Amino acid sequence: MSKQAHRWIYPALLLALVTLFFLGLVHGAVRIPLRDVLQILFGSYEGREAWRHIVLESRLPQTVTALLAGSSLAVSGLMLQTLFKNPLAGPSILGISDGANLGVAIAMIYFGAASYLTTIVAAFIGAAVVLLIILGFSRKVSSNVMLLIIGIMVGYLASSVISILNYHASADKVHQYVMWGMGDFSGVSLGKLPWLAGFSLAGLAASLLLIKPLNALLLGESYATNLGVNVRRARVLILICTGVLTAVVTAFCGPISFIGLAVPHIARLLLGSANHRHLLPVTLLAGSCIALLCSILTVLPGSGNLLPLSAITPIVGAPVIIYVIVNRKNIHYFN
Amino acid sequence: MRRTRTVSCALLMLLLLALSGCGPRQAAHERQALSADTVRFARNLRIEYFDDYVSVRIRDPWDTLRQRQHYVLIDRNKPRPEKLPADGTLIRIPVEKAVIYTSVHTAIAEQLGALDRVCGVCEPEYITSPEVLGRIAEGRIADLGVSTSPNVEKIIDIGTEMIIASPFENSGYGSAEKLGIPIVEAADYMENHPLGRTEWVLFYGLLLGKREEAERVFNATVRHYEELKTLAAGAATRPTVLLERKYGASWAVPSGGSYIGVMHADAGADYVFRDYPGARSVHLTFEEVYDRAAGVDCWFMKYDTRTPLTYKLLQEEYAPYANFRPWKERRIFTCNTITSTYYDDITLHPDLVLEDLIALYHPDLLPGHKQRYYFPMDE
Repeated sequence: MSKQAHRWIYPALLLALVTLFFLGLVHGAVRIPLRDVLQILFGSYEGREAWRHIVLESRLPQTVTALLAGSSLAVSGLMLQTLFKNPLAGPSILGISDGANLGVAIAMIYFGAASYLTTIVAAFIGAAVVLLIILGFSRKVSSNVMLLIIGIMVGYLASSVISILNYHASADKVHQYVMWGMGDFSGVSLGKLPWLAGFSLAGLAASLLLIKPLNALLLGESYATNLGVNVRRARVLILICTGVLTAVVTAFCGPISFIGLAVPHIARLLLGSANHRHLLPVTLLAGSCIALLCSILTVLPGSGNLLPLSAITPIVGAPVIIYVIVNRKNIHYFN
Repeated sequence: MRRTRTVSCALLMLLLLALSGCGPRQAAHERQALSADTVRFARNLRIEYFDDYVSVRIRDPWDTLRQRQHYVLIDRNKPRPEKLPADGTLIRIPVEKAVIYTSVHTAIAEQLGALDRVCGVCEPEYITSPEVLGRIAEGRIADLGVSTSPNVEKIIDIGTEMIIASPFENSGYGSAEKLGIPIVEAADYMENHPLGRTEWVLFYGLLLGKREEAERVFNATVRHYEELKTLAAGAATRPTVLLERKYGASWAVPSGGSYIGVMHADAGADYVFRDYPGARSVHLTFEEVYDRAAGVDCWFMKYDTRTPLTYKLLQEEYAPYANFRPWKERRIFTCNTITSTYYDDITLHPDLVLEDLIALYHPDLLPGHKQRYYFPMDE
């Protein structure tokens, strides 16, 4: 059955991806006719200069950002779910995005520096520090479950420091921080896009190289060892890979919930298999599609009203999680 | 049988209603206000003087059909009048020990010469006045911590008689509400007209025993503001202007009726989003703002970081800003709200901010003017 599924799933996802990508360029708060958008993209446009700037400098980077961020979060969610054998693991489970939040909270509230660039750097440093802490513990603790608990604890620690900072902050600083926490694909301009693209493409490429150890981990650590996989090394590589992906996306787009948690389940539903050789690429493509869809929905079609990204992703993600919990037996999991 | 009972019940209730309606009306006849309400610009404030008390009513800025507060001010040196409105919060004036939560109202108390009556403040890190900071260091004014959760025990300990706090929609004042100390809700920042904000000083002056001083300051500000407005109305051109910048995914655009929208109009400029009704900000996407405002003449924005905002930093923050005409023609003006006294002065002296704006829009109208708040942005 799964072989048949593969035959249609890749073309279908690619078609959805291309459609959503174009939809992202055409749909926006300002109504620009499809023909003008196409002319702008192919460089033959001679109309309003403002529209050209809107498509090329506002919509294009936002759409590419959504595409990259969606695949990065989804893939790191999948790898963490496999590593921890836990269907409810996601990129935020190890406290890495909490680390990014803490970095931003310190920069914004404590130092009062709100420029976009300092925010990115602060988020990245925060996430990297937590990642290093987790890596340090992963050398000491052999059980994955214990490592997971440590990750959650580190996340709680970061959150409590954020609470203290917020408690003592003025209303406008808290507002700024809350706005950042809403997530946003539109902040990355063309000039900064190569940074996001560089890190996330490197992380995604590395994840493709980890397919074999990921499949081996599905069978359990002792089986994996028997198959010749160095489990400790694989674990460290998976942690670094997911850590970098989460850190870079959170730094550029703010914390984005649910995509990393929900998309791997959507991929399993589509595929009916837990083999990472297909599950990982399908997760990657589905992640991009869902993030593009969420990005489009932030400008409510028909009304032009804005909705925060963090409100959209759970609307797409939560029903999937509920479906998974209710119908668990139908989905191929960790054996 | 049942029906008769319902009818008689209804009749009884009608009778009761009619009777209860008579009571207060009669009382109102007895207590005629000495003067009509003289508030001119503020929409949420009503001050009425009676022979032995002053009634101050504050309308809910978020639900304008509702009264938010009713304060009854009585002279602390006279015996308590026998008949007072039942629904009011009683405050004996002049208040001798006031706690002020916001730096803005502390600055107002200082400008009225009423600092001796201030016994505590919150968030001294936002206070710029050396005089107030000195008093805090000497311990004459207590530092009560964060305004959202102040040190309640200290508020009681220093014998506070009244708290002046800035209200927010749907939020209370936590444990400070349970102390039984009157909380004055300083909702001046919700006024749409710049002079409406200033007018609240009349209320603060009453509370702090500086009525004449407050009237003097208010009248001088109104006179200066209206002179400047007339001056700007005669300008040969009306430049178009864009305000503020995007944060996160949205650009909070002040509407035309907001105090900042009114102020730019009074300064002789055409604000691009003046057609948005109401007094609140509207959240727009970058592309909507860009579509309508890419070709404006000037761009004004406020920011609150210690490092000065520059053309370079603005472009680093979000590259498409560089496509706006004011960016290309170097017509962006910024106000640093941390290093300037903008927020301290905006309530009492919108005239000074207006003067700054006119000098930038129409330099020929105010030759030799020295900028106080808004400056051309650095490279």
